[in-house]
Amino acid sequence: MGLNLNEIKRYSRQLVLPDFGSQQQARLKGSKVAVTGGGGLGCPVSTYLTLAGIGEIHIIDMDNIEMSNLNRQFLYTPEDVGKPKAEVAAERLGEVNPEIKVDAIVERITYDNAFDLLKGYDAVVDGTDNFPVRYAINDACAVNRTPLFHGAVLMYEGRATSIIPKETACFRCAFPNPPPSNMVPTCREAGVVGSMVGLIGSIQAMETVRYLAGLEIGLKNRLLVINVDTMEFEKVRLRRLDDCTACGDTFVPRPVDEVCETRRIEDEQRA
Amino acid sequence: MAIVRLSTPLRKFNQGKPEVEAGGSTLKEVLQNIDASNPGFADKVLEKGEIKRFVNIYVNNEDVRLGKGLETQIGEKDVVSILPAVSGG
Repeated sequence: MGLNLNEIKRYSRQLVLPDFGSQQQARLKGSKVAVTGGGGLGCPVSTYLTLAGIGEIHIIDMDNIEMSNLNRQFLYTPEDVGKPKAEVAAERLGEVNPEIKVDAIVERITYDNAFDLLKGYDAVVDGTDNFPVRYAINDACAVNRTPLFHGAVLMYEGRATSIIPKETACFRCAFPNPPPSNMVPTCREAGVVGSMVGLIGSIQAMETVRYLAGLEIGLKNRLLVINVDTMEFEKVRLRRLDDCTACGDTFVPRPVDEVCETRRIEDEQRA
Repeated sequence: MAIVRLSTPLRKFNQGKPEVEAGGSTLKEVLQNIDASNPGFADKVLEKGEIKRFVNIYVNNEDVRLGKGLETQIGEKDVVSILPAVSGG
Protein backbone atom coordinates (compact mmCIF):
# COMPACT_ATOMS: atom_id res chain seq x y z
CA MET A 1 0.00 0.00 0.00
CA GLY A 2 1.69 3.19 -1.21
CA LEU A 3 1.53 6.68 0.25
CA ASN A 4 0.05 9.69 -1.54
CA LEU A 5 1.60 13.17 -1.53
CA ASN A 6 -0.63 14.41 1.32
CA GLU A 7 0.37 11.45 3.44
CA ILE A 8 4.06 11.96 2.76
CA LYS A 9 3.74 15.57 3.95
CA ARG A 10 1.46 14.77 6.91
CA TYR A 11 3.67 11.99 8.24
CA SER A 12 7.02 13.60 7.34
CA ARG A 13 8.10 14.08 10.97
CA GLN A 14 7.75 10.38 11.73
CA LEU A 15 9.04 9.25 8.33
CA VAL A 16 12.43 10.81 9.15
CA LEU A 17 12.83 8.66 12.27
CA PRO A 18 15.80 6.35 11.73
CA ASP A 19 13.79 3.13 12.19
CA PHE A 20 10.60 4.38 10.57
CA GLY A 21 10.04 4.97 6.86
CA SER A 22 7.46 4.63 4.10
CA GLN A 23 7.38 0.87 4.55
CA GLN A 24 6.42 1.22 8.23
CA GLN A 25 3.92 3.99 7.41
CA ALA A 26 2.32 1.78 4.77
CA ARG A 27 1.95 -0.96 7.37
CA LEU A 28 0.05 1.45 9.62
CA LYS A 29 -2.12 2.49 6.67
CA GLY A 30 -3.00 -1.15 6.05
CA SER A 31 -3.94 -1.79 9.71
CA LYS A 32 -7.37 -2.04 11.27
CA VAL A 33 -7.61 -1.36 15.03
CA ALA A 34 -10.46 -1.46 17.55
CA VAL A 35 -10.37 0.95 20.48
CA THR A 36 -12.66 -0.33 23.21
CA GLY A 37 -13.96 2.64 25.12
CA GLY A 38 -14.10 6.28 24.07
CA GLY A 39 -13.41 7.60 27.56
CA GLY A 40 -10.35 8.73 29.50
CA LEU A 41 -8.02 6.21 27.88
CA GLY A 42 -9.96 5.94 24.63
CA CYS A 43 -9.55 9.65 23.82
CA PRO A 44 -5.72 9.73 23.85
CA VAL A 45 -5.47 6.23 22.35
CA SER A 46 -7.76 6.95 19.41
CA THR A 47 -6.29 10.42 18.88
CA TYR A 48 -2.70 9.18 18.67
CA LEU A 49 -3.65 6.25 16.45
CA THR A 50 -5.45 8.73 14.17
CA LEU A 51 -2.48 11.09 14.06
CA ALA A 52 -0.06 8.22 13.40
CA GLY A 53 -2.05 7.14 10.35
CA ILE A 54 -3.66 3.80 11.30
CA GLY A 55 -5.77 3.10 8.19
CA GLU A 56 -8.99 2.03 9.89
CA ILE A 57 -10.04 2.68 13.49
CA HIS A 58 -13.25 1.52 15.13
CA ILE A 59 -14.23 3.16 18.42
CA ILE A 60 -16.53 0.91 20.43
CA ASP A 61 -18.54 2.57 23.22
CA MET A 62 -22.21 2.73 24.00
CA ASP A 63 -22.07 5.53 26.60
CA ASN A 64 -23.23 9.06 26.06
CA ILE A 65 -21.06 12.05 26.93
CA GLU A 66 -21.55 13.49 30.42
CA MET A 67 -20.35 16.80 31.82
CA SER A 68 -18.18 14.93 34.35
CA ASN A 69 -16.21 13.38 31.44
CA LEU A 70 -14.85 16.71 30.33
CA ASN A 71 -11.92 16.97 32.80
CA ARG A 72 -10.13 14.29 30.78
CA GLN A 73 -12.01 13.26 27.64
CA PHE A 74 -10.70 15.99 25.39
CA LEU A 75 -12.51 14.98 22.20
CA TYR A 76 -15.79 16.29 23.62
CA THR A 77 -17.22 19.77 24.30
CA PRO A 78 -20.11 20.88 26.54
CA GLU A 79 -22.34 20.97 23.43
CA ASP A 80 -21.72 17.23 22.98
CA VAL A 81 -23.22 16.25 26.36
CA GLY A 82 -25.86 13.57 25.80
CA LYS A 83 -24.47 12.42 22.44
CA PRO A 84 -22.86 8.97 21.93
CA LYS A 85 -19.11 9.13 22.64
CA ALA A 86 -18.17 6.77 19.82
CA GLU A 87 -20.00 8.82 17.19
CA VAL A 88 -18.65 12.19 18.31
CA ALA A 89 -15.09 10.83 18.64
CA ALA A 90 -15.21 9.17 15.21
CA GLU A 91 -16.55 12.31 13.54
CA ARG A 92 -13.96 14.58 15.17
CA LEU A 93 -11.03 12.28 14.45
CA GLY A 94 -12.18 11.84 10.86
CA GLU A 95 -11.80 15.62 10.51
CA VAL A 96 -8.39 15.56 12.14
CA ASN A 97 -7.07 13.03 9.63
CA PRO A 98 -9.12 12.67 6.43
CA GLU A 99 -6.58 10.18 5.06
CA ILE A 100 -7.93 7.42 7.31
CA LYS A 101 -11.29 5.86 8.18
CA VAL A 102 -12.68 6.24 11.71
CA ASP A 103 -15.97 4.50 12.51
CA ALA A 104 -18.17 4.32 15.59
CA ILE A 105 -19.67 1.14 16.99
CA VAL A 106 -22.29 2.12 19.57
CA GLU A 107 -22.57 -1.17 21.39
CA ARG A 108 -21.97 -2.56 24.89
CA ILE A 109 -19.22 -5.19 25.00
CA THR A 110 -20.22 -8.30 26.93
CA TYR A 111 -18.73 -11.75 27.39
CA ASP A 112 -21.31 -13.04 24.90
CA ASN A 113 -20.59 -10.63 22.05
CA ALA A 114 -16.89 -9.79 22.55
CA PHE A 115 -15.60 -12.76 20.55
CA ASP A 116 -17.52 -11.72 17.39
CA LEU A 117 -17.35 -7.99 17.93
CA LEU A 118 -13.54 -8.01 18.19
CA LYS A 119 -12.87 -10.37 15.27
CA GLY A 120 -10.88 -9.26 12.25
CA TYR A 121 -8.68 -6.57 13.81
CA ASP A 122 -4.91 -6.30 13.63
CA ALA A 123 -4.94 -4.99 17.22
CA VAL A 124 -7.36 -4.11 20.01
CA VAL A 125 -6.55 -1.32 22.46
CA ASP A 126 -8.43 -1.55 25.74
CA GLY A 127 -9.64 1.63 27.35
CA THR A 128 -12.68 0.27 29.19
CA ASP A 129 -13.38 0.86 32.86
CA ASN A 130 -14.53 -2.33 34.58
CA PHE A 131 -13.43 -5.89 35.21
CA PRO A 132 -16.26 -7.86 33.52
CA VAL A 133 -15.61 -6.11 30.19
CA ARG A 134 -11.82 -6.19 30.55
CA TYR A 135 -11.80 -9.95 31.10
CA ALA A 136 -14.24 -10.41 28.18
CA ILE A 137 -11.93 -8.43 25.89
CA ASN A 138 -8.87 -10.33 27.12
CA ASP A 139 -10.48 -13.72 26.54
CA ALA A 140 -11.84 -12.72 23.12
CA CYS A 141 -8.42 -11.48 21.97
CA ALA A 142 -6.75 -14.64 23.28
CA VAL A 143 -9.19 -16.86 21.37
CA ASN A 144 -9.15 -14.67 18.24
CA ARG A 145 -5.32 -14.40 18.48
CA THR A 146 -5.47 -10.62 18.30
CA PRO A 147 -2.78 -8.48 19.94
CA LEU A 148 -4.23 -6.53 22.86
CA PHE A 149 -2.76 -3.35 24.26
CA HIS A 150 -3.89 -3.03 27.86
CA GLY A 151 -4.00 0.08 30.01
CA ALA A 152 -5.75 0.84 33.30
CA VAL A 153 -5.78 3.65 35.80
CA LEU A 154 -6.72 4.19 39.42
CA MET A 155 -6.27 7.65 40.91
CA TYR A 156 -2.55 8.47 40.48
CA GLU A 157 -1.57 4.93 39.49
CA GLY A 158 -1.49 3.58 35.95
CA ARG A 159 -0.69 0.25 34.35
CA ALA A 160 0.07 -0.91 30.83
CA THR A 161 1.11 -4.16 29.14
CA SER A 162 1.19 -5.45 25.56
CA ILE A 163 -0.34 -8.86 25.03
CA ILE A 164 0.78 -10.79 21.94
CA PRO A 165 -1.14 -14.07 21.56
CA LYS A 166 0.85 -17.28 22.13
CA GLU A 167 3.92 -15.17 22.84
CA THR A 168 3.27 -13.23 26.03
CA ALA A 169 1.30 -13.41 29.24
CA CYS A 170 -2.28 -12.22 28.90
CA PHE A 171 -4.21 -10.15 31.46
CA ARG A 172 -5.63 -13.35 32.94
CA CYS A 173 -2.15 -14.92 33.25
CA ALA A 174 -1.17 -11.88 35.31
CA PHE A 175 -4.44 -11.58 37.24
CA PRO A 176 -6.40 -14.85 37.05
CA ASN A 177 -9.05 -13.40 39.37
CA PRO A 178 -10.45 -9.90 39.68
CA PRO A 179 -10.46 -8.36 43.15
CA PRO A 180 -13.76 -8.09 44.99
CA SER A 181 -15.54 -4.89 44.08
CA ASN A 182 -15.13 -3.33 47.51
CA MET A 183 -11.33 -3.55 47.22
CA VAL A 184 -10.66 -1.62 44.03
CA PRO A 185 -12.77 1.48 43.45
CA THR A 186 -13.62 2.81 39.99
CA CYS A 187 -12.53 6.21 38.63
CA ARG A 188 -16.03 7.49 39.38
CA GLU A 189 -15.54 6.61 43.05
CA ALA A 190 -11.86 7.31 43.51
CA GLY A 191 -11.20 10.15 41.09
CA VAL A 192 -8.90 10.65 38.12
CA VAL A 193 -7.03 13.55 36.51
CA GLY A 194 -6.84 13.97 32.74
CA SER A 195 -3.07 13.82 32.41
CA MET A 196 -3.00 10.43 34.18
CA VAL A 197 -5.20 8.74 31.57
CA GLY A 198 -3.37 10.78 28.93
CA LEU A 199 -0.08 9.28 30.05
CA ILE A 200 -1.27 5.67 30.01
CA GLY A 201 -3.29 6.09 26.80
CA SER A 202 -0.23 7.55 25.06
CA ILE A 203 1.83 4.55 26.12
CA GLN A 204 -0.82 2.16 24.79
CA ALA A 205 -0.93 4.04 21.48
CA MET A 206 2.88 4.08 21.24
CA GLU A 207 3.10 0.32 21.76
CA THR A 208 0.32 -0.27 19.21
CA VAL A 209 1.93 1.94 16.57
CA ARG A 210 5.39 0.40 17.03
CA TYR A 211 3.98 -3.13 16.97
CA LEU A 212 1.91 -2.55 13.82
CA ALA A 213 4.87 -0.83 12.13
CA GLY A 214 6.89 -3.98 12.81
CA LEU A 215 9.20 -2.41 15.41
CA GLU A 216 10.26 -3.85 18.76
CA ILE A 217 8.03 -3.04 21.73
CA GLY A 218 8.96 -2.77 25.40
CA LEU A 219 5.92 -4.08 27.26
CA LYS A 220 5.83 -7.72 26.13
CA ASN A 221 5.68 -9.83 29.31
CA ARG A 222 6.10 -6.67 31.34
CA LEU A 223 3.53 -4.77 33.36
CA LEU A 224 4.46 -1.12 33.55
CA VAL A 225 3.32 0.35 36.86
CA ILE A 226 3.42 4.13 37.15
CA ASN A 227 2.69 6.13 40.28
CA VAL A 228 2.67 9.79 39.44
CA ASP A 229 2.46 10.95 43.05
CA THR A 230 5.99 9.59 43.57
CA MET A 231 6.90 9.47 39.84
CA GLU A 232 7.98 5.84 40.30
CA PHE A 233 7.99 3.91 37.05
CA GLU A 234 8.55 0.16 37.45
CA LYS A 235 8.20 -2.80 35.12
CA VAL A 236 7.34 -6.11 36.76
CA ARG A 237 7.82 -9.35 34.88
CA LEU A 238 4.80 -11.33 33.68
CA ARG A 239 4.91 -14.96 32.60
CA ARG A 240 2.63 -16.89 30.30
CA LEU A 241 0.83 -19.70 32.08
CA ASP A 242 0.31 -22.93 30.13
CA ASP A 243 -2.82 -23.59 32.19
CA CYS A 244 -4.25 -20.08 31.72
CA THR A 245 -7.97 -20.48 30.98
CA ALA A 246 -7.81 -17.73 28.33
CA CYS A 247 -4.55 -18.16 26.42
CA GLY A 248 -3.30 -21.54 27.69
CA ASP A 249 -3.57 -25.00 26.17
CA THR A 250 -7.34 -25.27 26.71
CA PHE A 251 -9.70 -22.32 26.55
CA VAL A 252 -12.32 -22.23 29.29
CA PRO A 253 -14.96 -19.46 29.10
CA ARG A 254 -14.95 -17.60 32.41
CA PRO A 255 -17.19 -14.55 32.35
CA VAL A 256 -16.51 -12.29 35.31
CA ASP A 257 -19.60 -11.99 37.40
CA GLU A 258 -21.31 -8.65 37.40
CA VAL A 259 -23.04 -9.61 40.61
CA CYS A 260 -20.19 -8.02 42.56
CA GLU A 261 -21.06 -4.71 40.92
CA THR A 262 -24.71 -5.08 41.94
CA ARG A 263 -23.66 -5.94 45.46
CA ARG A 264 -21.52 -2.80 45.63
CA ILE A 265 -24.44 -0.61 44.60
CA GLU A 266 -26.64 -2.32 47.19
CA ASP A 267 -23.96 -1.73 49.83
CA GLU A 268 -23.81 1.93 48.90
CA GLN A 269 -27.58 2.26 49.10
CA ARG A 270 -27.57 0.60 52.50
CA ALA A 271 -24.86 2.98 53.69
CA MET B 1 14.97 -3.23 55.61
CA ALA B 2 13.07 -3.98 52.42
CA ILE B 3 11.14 -1.26 50.61
CA VAL B 4 7.52 -2.26 50.13
CA ARG B 5 5.56 -0.38 47.47
CA LEU B 6 1.82 -0.42 47.90
CA SER B 7 -0.66 -0.14 45.08
CA THR B 8 -3.28 2.61 45.54
CA PRO B 9 -6.06 0.36 46.97
CA LEU B 10 -3.72 -0.78 49.79
CA ARG B 11 -2.43 2.60 50.89
CA LYS B 12 -5.31 3.26 53.24
CA PHE B 13 -3.76 0.56 55.43
CA ASN B 14 -0.49 2.52 55.52
CA GLN B 15 -1.76 5.99 56.50
CA GLY B 16 -2.19 6.75 52.78
CA LYS B 17 1.52 6.44 52.09
CA PRO B 18 2.79 4.71 48.93
CA GLU B 19 5.79 2.97 50.52
CA VAL B 20 6.77 1.40 53.81
CA GLU B 21 10.10 -0.01 55.00
CA ALA B 22 9.93 -3.31 56.82
CA GLY B 23 12.37 -5.86 58.19
CA GLY B 24 12.15 -9.64 57.90
CA SER B 25 14.13 -12.39 56.24
CA THR B 26 11.20 -13.82 54.29
CA LEU B 27 8.26 -12.20 52.53
CA LYS B 28 5.96 -13.63 55.20
CA GLU B 29 7.94 -11.92 57.98
CA VAL B 30 8.00 -8.64 56.06
CA LEU B 31 4.20 -8.71 55.70
CA GLN B 32 3.77 -9.63 59.39
CA ASN B 33 6.01 -6.73 60.40
CA ILE B 34 3.96 -4.29 58.31
CA ASP B 35 0.82 -5.64 59.93
CA ALA B 36 2.30 -5.12 63.40
CA SER B 37 2.47 -1.36 62.79
CA ASN B 38 -0.59 -1.22 60.50
CA PRO B 39 -3.20 -3.56 62.00
CA GLY B 40 -5.52 -5.00 59.36
CA PHE B 41 -2.93 -4.84 56.59
CA ALA B 42 -2.30 -8.60 56.48
CA ASP B 43 -6.03 -9.32 56.16
CA LYS B 44 -6.08 -7.37 52.92
CA VAL B 45 -3.21 -9.34 51.39
CA LEU B 46 -3.38 -12.80 52.99
CA GLU B 47 -6.13 -15.36 53.44
CA LYS B 48 -5.71 -18.55 55.45
CA GLY B 49 -1.96 -18.09 55.44
CA GLU B 50 -1.72 -17.72 51.65
CA ILE B 51 -1.48 -14.71 49.33
CA LYS B 52 -5.00 -13.77 48.26
CA ARG B 53 -5.88 -15.01 44.80
CA PHE B 54 -6.38 -11.54 43.38
CA VAL B 55 -3.23 -9.98 44.85
CA ASN B 56 0.14 -10.22 43.09
CA ILE B 57 3.37 -9.70 45.01
CA TYR B 58 6.61 -9.03 43.17
CA VAL B 59 10.06 -9.09 44.76
CA ASN B 60 12.56 -7.19 42.62
CA ASN B 61 9.96 -7.29 39.82
CA GLU B 62 9.52 -11.09 39.89
CA ASP B 63 6.13 -12.63 40.77
CA VAL B 64 6.63 -14.64 43.99
CA ARG B 65 3.81 -16.99 43.03
CA LEU B 66 6.05 -18.39 40.32
CA GLY B 67 8.82 -18.86 42.89
CA LYS B 68 8.77 -19.53 46.62
CA GLY B 69 5.70 -17.51 47.51
CA LEU B 70 5.64 -16.28 51.10
CA GLU B 71 8.92 -18.10 51.80
CA THR B 72 10.78 -15.89 49.28
CA GLN B 73 13.99 -14.68 50.91
CA ILE B 74 14.12 -10.93 51.36
CA GLY B 75 17.41 -9.08 51.54
CA GLU B 76 18.35 -5.55 52.51
CA LYS B 77 17.13 -3.04 49.90
CA ASP B 78 15.00 -5.59 48.07
CA VAL B 79 11.91 -3.98 46.57
CA VAL B 80 8.56 -5.64 47.20
CA SER B 81 5.56 -4.48 45.14
CA ILE B 82 2.04 -5.48 46.07
CA LEU B 83 -0.41 -5.11 43.21
CA PRO B 84 -4.03 -6.12 42.83
CA ALA B 85 -5.51 -5.66 39.34
CA VAL B 86 -7.02 -2.27 38.59
CA SER B 87 -9.59 -1.57 35.92
CA GLY B 88 -10.26 2.17 35.64
CA GLY B 89 -10.17 3.93 32.36
